[in-house]
Amino acid sequence: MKPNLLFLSFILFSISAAIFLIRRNLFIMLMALELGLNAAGLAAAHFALKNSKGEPLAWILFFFAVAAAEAAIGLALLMNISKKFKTLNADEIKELKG
Amino acid sequence: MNQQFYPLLPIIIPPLAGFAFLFIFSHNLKGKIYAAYGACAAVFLSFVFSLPAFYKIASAPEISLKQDVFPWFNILGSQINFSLTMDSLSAVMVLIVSGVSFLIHIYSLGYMGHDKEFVRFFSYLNLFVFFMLILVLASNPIVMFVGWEGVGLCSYLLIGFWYENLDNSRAGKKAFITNRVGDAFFIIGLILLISALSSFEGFSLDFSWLKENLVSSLSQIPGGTYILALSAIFMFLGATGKSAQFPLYIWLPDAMAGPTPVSALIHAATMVTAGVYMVSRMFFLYQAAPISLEIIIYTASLTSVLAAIIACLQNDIKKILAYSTISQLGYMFLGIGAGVYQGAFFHLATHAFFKALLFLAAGSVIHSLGGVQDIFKMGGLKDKIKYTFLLTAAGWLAISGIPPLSGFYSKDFIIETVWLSGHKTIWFLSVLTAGLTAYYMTRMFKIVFISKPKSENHPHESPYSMLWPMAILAVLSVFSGLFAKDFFAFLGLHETHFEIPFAAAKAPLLSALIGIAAGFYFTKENISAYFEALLPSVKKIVSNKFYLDEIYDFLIVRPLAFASDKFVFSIIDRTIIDKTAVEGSAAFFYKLGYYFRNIQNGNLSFYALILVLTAAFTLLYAAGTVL
Amino acid sequence: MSVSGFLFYIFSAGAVLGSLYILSAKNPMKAAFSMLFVFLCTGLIYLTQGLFFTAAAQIIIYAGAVMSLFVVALPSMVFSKNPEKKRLLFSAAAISSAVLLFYALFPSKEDFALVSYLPSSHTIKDLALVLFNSYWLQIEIISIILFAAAAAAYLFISVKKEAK
Repeated sequence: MKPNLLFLSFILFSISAAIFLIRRNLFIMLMALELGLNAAGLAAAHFALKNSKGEPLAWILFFFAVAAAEAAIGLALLMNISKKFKTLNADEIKELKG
Repeated sequence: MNQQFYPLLPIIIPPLAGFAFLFIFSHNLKGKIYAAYGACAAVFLSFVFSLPAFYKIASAPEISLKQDVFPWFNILGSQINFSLTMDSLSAVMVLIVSGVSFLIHIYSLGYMGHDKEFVRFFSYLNLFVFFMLILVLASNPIVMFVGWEGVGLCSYLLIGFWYENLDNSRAGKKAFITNRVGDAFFIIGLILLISALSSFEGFSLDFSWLKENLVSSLSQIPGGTYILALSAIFMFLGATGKSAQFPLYIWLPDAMAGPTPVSALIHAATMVTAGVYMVSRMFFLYQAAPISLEIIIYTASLTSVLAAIIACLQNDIKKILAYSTISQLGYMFLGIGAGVYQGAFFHLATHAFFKALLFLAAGSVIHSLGGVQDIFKMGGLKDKIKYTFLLTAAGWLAISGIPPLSGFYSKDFIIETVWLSGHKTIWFLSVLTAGLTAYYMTRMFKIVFISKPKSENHPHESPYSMLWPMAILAVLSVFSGLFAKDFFAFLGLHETHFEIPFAAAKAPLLSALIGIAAGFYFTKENISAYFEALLPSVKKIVSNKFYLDEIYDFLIVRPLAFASDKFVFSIIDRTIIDKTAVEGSAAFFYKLGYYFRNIQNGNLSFYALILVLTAAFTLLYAAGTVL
Repeated sequence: MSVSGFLFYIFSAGAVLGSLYILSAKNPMKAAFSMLFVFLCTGLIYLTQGLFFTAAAQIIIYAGAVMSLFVVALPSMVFSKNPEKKRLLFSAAAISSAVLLFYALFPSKEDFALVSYLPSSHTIKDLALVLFNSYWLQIEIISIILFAAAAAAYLFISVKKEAK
């Protein structure tokens, strides 16, 4: 069987979405987002290989940069939230309840 | 019938302007008597503006003058305009309405001048004149109905003028509602006509077109004669509401709760004659349906006898005059039913004069005694208020039908036409009613002016503003009979001398003289007491107006109140509208919000789920798999 | 089957299993390390397909910088004592939507099997040419984003300290 990066990317992305939905720990949810971006990178690599172009590889670099920026800000936010609410359980933080 | 253009709008505008001015500035004008002068001037302007039109018609009575004021609406293919027409019939009516209204406005200066709210009074009077003139000058039944409704409204406003007293408001309400019942019949009759006519090309609702084409058009369609008869009867029922015939006369005695000028103007001279006017206008319709004339003559006869009997035992001076009005209106309808509407119209004119005079005189007596209305509290006034006494005497003789006063001519003419129509029993009843009329008027006259008073009273003579209009009306009552022939010729009736057996011709006069004698006799002290003790139960029934109001209350008012309370109020108003629609929709939205609120529960994962599901479905939709 | 294909399957299995472990890990530290493992596997996948620069960038940036950040920030977070409740509904929703999407995105068999990649002859020179010719704007924007992120992160932390 020949490798199919797109399929793998789909699996990883759906697992990342599942983690985001199922787990309540905010830290884990943030990690799931990183995983999703990673999966997007894999998809881009698939298209680079399939069509023999170099541009998708540039996109991958941009994904990395976005992921890094997001991780930094996300973690800073999480630190503040954990200090304020004394918990990182998404079920317990309901300040914006309507 | 040739129609010329003539500007008739200036006739109806001044009272409307007067009303608007008094209404808008009523706050500023409190207590300023010149506001009332303005109102009188407005009506005088109407009278003045109608004179040239009258002369124009007088020179050629077959023509009619028309003015289309504005195009109004289109119904079933026929264009209805708001237009005014004056022909010989309406010319006479306009002069009577504006002239008598003007005199009563002058009278009200003295009578209502001290009232706190006389500005409102004069504004209502002006509004009434405006609507009455619209009714009279209307060119088609729709415009006439505008005036018809308007005078009903003004009647309600004026009867309940002193509204702080609840009885007055009730009387006004009663008048309006009874009128409304009549109006419903009027509309039904009108709708019958319109829907029957709608099958004809180029039909118009103008009275002139109807006069020439209605009967010929409707006889062509099957069942046309029935439609003619039905609509005639329904419109006559509408007239009974307005002109106080049986069974819709009950509002008129209660309407005496209003100020006396109102009773004089509306309930003697003008509004109640609107029914007579309308039937005269549409007389071609009634002629084409002889059964309607039969119904009219029987109803009128019943009304006039019934009212005359009730009037014989009334103690309130205004109530006597009210029942007298009902009875005399019955006479007018008798004339119509007999087939000669010009006679009825002549009696309308003379009755306007002497009945208005009598009401103004009653008002003068009431005013001079400071508000007393019971005739048994009056008495011996003939020396104390001489002018009022003399003027009332003129009215008394006129209404009793003594020649050469006008009442004799008009009443006699009607009774002659009744004889000629062949209804001998009705003729006999009308002669009897003439006698009763003379009796109760004499009774009133004697007790108020001639008999010794039971207790001391100190009347003061009324001011000249009240006496002069009465004087003018007295002159008209006395002398207008001389113009009978010209009047009839003006209205198109040239054959006024009838061949009648001598006894039958003189019977009404004889009956009137007997009535006057009986009036003087039975009001002597000992005689009246003797007869009162004779038949107490009869006296009770008659003086309680044959209990007709109580019967109406039991048969109509109470079921209506019950139905409206139990059904319309409880079910429709409270349950359906209040609970279900208003509260229900509010509760619905409340519940909706209550449940929708849970979407925003602050739960991050929940939001994420929604996000993912939405994204999934959008992708599926884009991929074409799921719609 | 070629060596790279065989290796590809090994490493992709590792990535999938690692991410599944994250799904069920109780200890967030273990989850963070499992994440690190996933990133490493991904990098190795790139390597098996011949994308050397991308693999290097993945290891350096993701596994190196981002995960280090996670691992270092983890101990200063206060986690709640309450256990997370199991959410069956969400699991079912997630799985079913994933299945649906799978059938939507890969409707026919050819889409996910037997893709033959062209022999990769990408050099870093090609990549550099692309970056600095077509994607110049994106490079600059990315640099701004990174700078802004650094500034914001510092701001968050410093605000916390001043609030004391």
